[in-house]
Amino acid sequence: MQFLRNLIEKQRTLYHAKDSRFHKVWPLFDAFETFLFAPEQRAERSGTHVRDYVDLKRVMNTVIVAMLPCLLWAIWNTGAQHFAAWASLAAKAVAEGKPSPEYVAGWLQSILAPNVMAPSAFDTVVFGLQRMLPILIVSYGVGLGIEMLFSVLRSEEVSEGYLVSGMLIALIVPASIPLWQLAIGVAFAVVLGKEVFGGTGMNIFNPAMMVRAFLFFAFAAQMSGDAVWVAGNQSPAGVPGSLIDGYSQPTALAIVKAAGTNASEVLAATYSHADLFFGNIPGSAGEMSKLAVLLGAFWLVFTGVGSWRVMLAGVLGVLATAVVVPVAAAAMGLAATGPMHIAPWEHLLCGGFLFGIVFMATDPVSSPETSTGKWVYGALIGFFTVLVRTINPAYPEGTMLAVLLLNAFAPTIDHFVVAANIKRRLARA
Amino acid sequence: MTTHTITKGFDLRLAGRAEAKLQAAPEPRSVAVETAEFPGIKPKALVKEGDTVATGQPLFLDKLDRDLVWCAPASGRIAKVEFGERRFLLRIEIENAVAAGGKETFADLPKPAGDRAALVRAIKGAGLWPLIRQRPVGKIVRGDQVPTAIFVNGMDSAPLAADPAFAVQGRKADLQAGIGLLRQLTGGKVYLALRAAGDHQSELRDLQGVEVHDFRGPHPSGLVGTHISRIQPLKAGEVAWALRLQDLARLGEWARTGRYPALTTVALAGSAAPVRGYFRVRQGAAVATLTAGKPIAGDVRVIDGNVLHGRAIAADGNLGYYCAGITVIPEGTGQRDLFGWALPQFGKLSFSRSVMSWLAPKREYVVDTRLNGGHRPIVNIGAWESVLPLDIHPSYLVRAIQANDIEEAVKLGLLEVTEEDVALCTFVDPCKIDVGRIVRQGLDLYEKEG
Repeated sequence: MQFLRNLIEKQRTLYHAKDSRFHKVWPLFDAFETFLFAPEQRAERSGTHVRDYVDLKRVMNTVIVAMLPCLLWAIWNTGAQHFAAWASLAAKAVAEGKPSPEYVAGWLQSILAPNVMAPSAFDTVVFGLQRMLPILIVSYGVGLGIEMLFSVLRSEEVSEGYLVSGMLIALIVPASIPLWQLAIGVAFAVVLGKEVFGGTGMNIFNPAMMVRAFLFFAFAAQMSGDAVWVAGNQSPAGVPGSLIDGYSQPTALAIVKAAGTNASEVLAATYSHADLFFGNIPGSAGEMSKLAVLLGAFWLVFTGVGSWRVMLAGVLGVLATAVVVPVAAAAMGLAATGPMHIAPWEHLLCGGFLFGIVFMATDPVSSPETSTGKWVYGALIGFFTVLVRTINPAYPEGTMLAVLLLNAFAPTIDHFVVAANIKRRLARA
Repeated sequence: MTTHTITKGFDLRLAGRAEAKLQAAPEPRSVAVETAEFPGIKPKALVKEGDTVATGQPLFLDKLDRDLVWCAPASGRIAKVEFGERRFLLRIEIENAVAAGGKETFADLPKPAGDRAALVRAIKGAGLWPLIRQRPVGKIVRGDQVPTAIFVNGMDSAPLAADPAFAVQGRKADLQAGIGLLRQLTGGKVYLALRAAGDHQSELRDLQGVEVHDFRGPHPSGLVGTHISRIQPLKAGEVAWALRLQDLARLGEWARTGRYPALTTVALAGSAAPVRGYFRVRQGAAVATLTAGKPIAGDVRVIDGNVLHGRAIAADGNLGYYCAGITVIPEGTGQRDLFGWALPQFGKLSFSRSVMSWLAPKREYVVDTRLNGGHRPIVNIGAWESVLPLDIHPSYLVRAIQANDIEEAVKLGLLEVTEEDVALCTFVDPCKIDVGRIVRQGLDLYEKEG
């Protein structure tokens, strides 16, 4: 360790002083150095002399730890869904008397060849890694690259905010996404969603959700529909992405959307509640297992890093809205849709709401800062999520739109809470 | 008696508590009075090097209020009068005649007599006026606005802080005399805040003429800002005065004896302190007076005050005018933890449970002065709010001050806090923002514009 310190101290002279050779890229050196060793600053000699051991690195690291169950499940289930889909395609071909389709191996599988018809746990993980690793690398590589560039331009220390965003992004896109689209999305969101506002702490919208929104509207074919939720190794003609040619499987919410008043039964015919809860379903990488999300939520709330108010308010908002909407729609003479006819708690099991409220809505920068504001904000995210799911004719899922909408209104919500505080103060006079 | 329970806050469990044993410190060879402790004054020296002064003789006055003087805490020859830039008086050092075997002589001080205005002049002339501080802003009282109420603080919840109740044991007569003075100074009530179910309070609870309020809960339950907010929040335009129980005893001592109360009670604490305990010591003595010759050496920081709110002094520096406690902690120079942010860290003090020390809730921590992180823009994970028991939204207050929007900052509660009240926010902040400094900047700007 001392050896490492000495080595870094020696390099430091090349970067630190104003007139040193590489001073322009001092923020990069600093980021690297403080990644290894805690910074050396000490408290000023008047005022507060001691500081908590927590820094922003640890806060971000705590969120990353909270996302690990989701990531691990994403790696496993991406593989599991892939091989299950392949098996069903092969079975279908046999039933129709056609020749079994030929399996195309991916880059990692070309070294570690899978047993396609009876994949082992190892094969499953290999496929999951084969998709998730490049996505993580592109997400972090592009995002951190841009962050570092802007830090150098501003001569500011590199902020840790993107460490969480990078992981979030990997978990909220389908594992089949073409990497170039992901790279464009990340670049767009980090530059226009974050850096133009001044970087970490200054952005209005959650950067990871910006990536998803950009991809959703720019490359709708890769972000919605029934074909993209199970990853493969093929790029069918005219459709970029890593897919299984000829395979499609709707998500739970798409099934519900297409169903009528018997939506609950239709859903149960495809996915059991246990499948939905434990995550044995296709979907975006991180949203699948509600159990993994809940483990993360517990860790965030326990450590005090994530706001339990936002999470609880969001869940209550979903439940309340899901109870009210069918009644209100009937009273207003609106057509009943499938999502109005699943149980309120099934709204929590379907889609990405839980992931969104636990990991995206709680982003401290883009959510309200007052406690009262957090309740309102969380509840409204739940409300709009269900509203989009039930009333909107096109989108099966509403979490992304709800979070972004409320990100935009977070300062407004706080404004009213703060105004009430001011009013209380004036009332004393 | 009313009991107030504070729930938001945090007690820093630091190692190095002062032992509850009072001993007399030896007479110091010299004593010093420094002007840096009194921001905003324009001092004019009344003595020069070589003069001989008696205890209680004025050393300098404030040109903004010529009645306001600071007195010699010892008798003897003026050893040094130090000036800074533009001949700004910095420090006056007196050789203590008593330590050299001489006798202490006492200057004639004005007596507390006559009407309220005469009493104010007398306190100023006795060098004791700075003991009283004004809320809002938390500085020496200026102007002649009569305070709505006076808050005497009989507790201190800061980490390793001296217990005022212990420090004034056996001084009931002084306290009662002091209360008599305070009652002449305000038309309103005189409040005494005490720790609920605290020790050494039997005499305090018998005091006449004060309304006692009990406070329980974690720091900042023992700060006057918290007390005012719970007992009688100030309306716009009102001022309150605040002083500590030890200072009330000094006022009373002067009222009873007519002499300058040169002896104070100081607790020496902190993990790096060579000895720990309470000392009866002359105001302005060198810190070494308390350690019986054991030098405070090495990589340590000596703080006049506590770790959350205090002023670092040199290891051979002097106790301040206000000093009720000295805290000595390691400085931590050059220590840099490898992967400090990523390892579980079972032995590091934190408010957050993302540091694994919550597994050992009883442990006492040795804490040094490192920031443990880099400065970042505000990322509010709600930590400030969870340690501030006032009805204030701290992040909005800080932003208003940073935007120099003092009108808005006042609306948001700037006048209800001082740097001391938000010190815990500074402590817990993962972005290492010095909230106290920002609040003081806001208050300075308020004074300038107000």
